[in-house]
Amino acid sequence: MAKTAAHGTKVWFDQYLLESYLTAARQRLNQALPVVTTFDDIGPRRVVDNYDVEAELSGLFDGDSAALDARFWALIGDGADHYLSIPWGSGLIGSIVYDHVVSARERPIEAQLGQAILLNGTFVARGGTSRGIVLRNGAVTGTENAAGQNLGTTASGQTFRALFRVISGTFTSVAIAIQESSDNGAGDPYATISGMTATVTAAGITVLTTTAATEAWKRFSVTAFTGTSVSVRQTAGRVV
Amino acid sequence: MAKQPAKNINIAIGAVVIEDDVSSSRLGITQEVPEVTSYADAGPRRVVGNYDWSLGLEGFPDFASGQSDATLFALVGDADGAASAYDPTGAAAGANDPNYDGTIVLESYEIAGAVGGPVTFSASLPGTSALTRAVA
Repeated sequence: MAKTAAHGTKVWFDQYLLESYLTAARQRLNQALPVVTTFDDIGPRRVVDNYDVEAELSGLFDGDSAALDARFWALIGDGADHYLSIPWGSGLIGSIVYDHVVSARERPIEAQLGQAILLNGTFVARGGTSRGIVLRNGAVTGTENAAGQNLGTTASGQTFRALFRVISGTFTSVAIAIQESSDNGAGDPYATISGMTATVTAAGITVLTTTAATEAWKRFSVTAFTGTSVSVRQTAGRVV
Repeated sequence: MAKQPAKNINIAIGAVVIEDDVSSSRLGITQEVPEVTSYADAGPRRVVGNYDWSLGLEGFPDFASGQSDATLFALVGDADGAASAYDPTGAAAGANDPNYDGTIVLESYEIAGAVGGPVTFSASLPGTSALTRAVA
């Protein structure tokens, strides 16, 4: 996926789709680089420490129940993990997506004569970030296997994380699994990654992680479904 | 070699050529110049110590495998950093074609987008080595 227009960018906050309210988004990753230059060095020397992430969402105030203002207001005083995913330019399957674990820091409402009321949100990380891929985006109507995506292998000890969002639908339950293969199923059949399964019965977000080694190709699989249709978003990547 | 238009610049991070994603760049070098002015001096006196340098990039991220977004994000947590090559004339090192080479680490990486515009990026890449100006 090459350079892209900002239009088409999706913003998924927990199980809520915010792109219909937003006009701009920004994410910034800062890495600590303590300087360790000594008398003996020509030029600087730095070591790499931890990182932090901040995201800004700029949008249009909507006071309806379950709309943007209500979503941002619910974050005030909320100390739980919340998941912000931004597939830049496109949310199609196979698109690059940044997944962040965040808390809200501020959410100003601004109103200027002659303009729409604006609602912005600033979010700060409270966990690791991943650069991953959108594995599924759309309506599930039965058991299925989505197209495999090459996310690269992960080594033992590294965290591979999948975020499964159920947005809405008419359903009783959907059972999902994240499966792996070394060659997209060509010679090595896809198999469920141990511990990366879930059965979901209502709208919400489910976080699946493993620190076991995983193979390069992953895919989203629905192993059981009871209902008519459910809108889902599935992203996954290695947490740095 | 005459003055140069910006479009001539070649930039590489590691083995990845990224000038095709960059629209603005800055190679900054700052030298330590501690002041040693004494009562007896008319005007300032300074001595020269070590220097620091940093590469700043802005542009449009390419999200394809192996391109600018993947390359820059890969520097998160990378203690070794990556080789950087900044060639203002776009030519191999020569008497009139300086090539600035060093090792960088990632300090910040920002992606942004607004309705009506492209997705953009900016990155700050401070040096963690000597900076060489190759002319041959």
